[in-house]
Amino acid sequence: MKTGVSILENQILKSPLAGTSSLRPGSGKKKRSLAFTLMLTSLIDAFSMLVIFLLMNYSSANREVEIRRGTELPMAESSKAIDEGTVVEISQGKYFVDKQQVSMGHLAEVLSNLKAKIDRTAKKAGEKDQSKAALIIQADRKVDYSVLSPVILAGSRSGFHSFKFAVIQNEGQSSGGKQ
Amino acid sequence: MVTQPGLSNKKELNFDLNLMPVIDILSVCICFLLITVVWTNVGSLNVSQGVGTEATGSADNTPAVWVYLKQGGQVVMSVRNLNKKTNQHDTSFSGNRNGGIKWSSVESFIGHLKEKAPDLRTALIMPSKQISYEDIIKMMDRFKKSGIEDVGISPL
Repeated sequence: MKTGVSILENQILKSPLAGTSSLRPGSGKKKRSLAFTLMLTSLIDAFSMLVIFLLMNYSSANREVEIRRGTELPMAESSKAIDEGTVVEISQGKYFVDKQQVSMGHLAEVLSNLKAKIDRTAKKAGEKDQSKAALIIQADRKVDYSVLSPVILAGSRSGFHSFKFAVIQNEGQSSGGKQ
Repeated sequence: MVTQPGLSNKKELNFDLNLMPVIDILSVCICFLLITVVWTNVGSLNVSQGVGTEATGSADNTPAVWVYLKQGGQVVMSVRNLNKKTNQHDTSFSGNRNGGIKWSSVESFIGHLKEKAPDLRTALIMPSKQISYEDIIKMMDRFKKSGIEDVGISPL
C-alpha cells in the first residue's frame, strides 16, 4: 500500500475485495496488496445504540436493594421508588434485620432499639422528616401471612407506623412510580 | 484526489476522521453503564399498620372498606360509613375452582365502589394466616390502582 494515501482514498479507488481478487488483480505492474480496511462505521453505530439503550435504562433514583438468592418478590404496578428505611428480610422462615439474623422472640426488642437509634439520630440532626422510620419488608411471594404478621406486629409495637413491602415494578411502570 | 479549482498548487481537501477515540469513549461508556445498570426495578408498596394507630382513629367515621381474605379464595368486603351514614354493607366473593381469589370480580367491585363513592380513600385488609403474601400484595395493588390510596394491613 502506498504510504501517505488516505484511508478514504484507498477505499474509493481500490476496494479491499478488488485488491485481493485473483481474476483481475488490477495493474500488473503493482504488487497486490493484502492489507484491508476495517469498516468502523457499523461498529460505531452498534456502540451508539447500546449506549443510548443503557442510558435510557439507567436510573439513579432507586435505592440499591439486595435480594437474597431464591427469594422471588411479588409484582405490583402501583409501586413507588424504594426509599430509606430499615430492611427486614424473611427467608426460609428466618428473620434478618439489616442483614443480621434475629429470632422471632427478639424481633420486637431489636426493632425497638433500632427505632430509638433512628429517633436519636434524627433529633440530633434536627430532622423532622420521619421517612427513615419506615420498615421495608422483603419476603418471597409464596410465604404465608402467618410468617409476615409477627414482623408487622413487632414493627408497630416498636413505633414503626409506615411499612413498605418490596415488590418488583411491573413493565409499563414510570420511574417515579404511581400510587 | 479532490482539489480546489483555480489553484496552481494541489491542495487536498479530503480529511481523515480518526474514529479510534470515538470507539474508546463509547467502549468506556458501555462498560460503565453495563456495570451500573439495573435490570429489575425494585419498588415499594407503602401501607400503614391499620389497627391500633392513628390510621384507624381517623377512620372511625370516614368511609372505609374492610377486606377479609379467607381460606379457599373467599373475600368478604365490608363497606362502612358510606355516604356519610353510619352503615355497613357486606359483599362476599367465593373463590375459583383452584381455591384462588377471583380477581376479575374483586376488581370490578372495587371499580364500581369507587364510582359510587369517589371520596372513598381508605381500605383495611384483614388476611387470615394461610393467605399468601402475593395475594395480599395483589389486593393492595388493586386498591391503589383504583385510587384508594390509604391502605392498611392488620396483623393476626
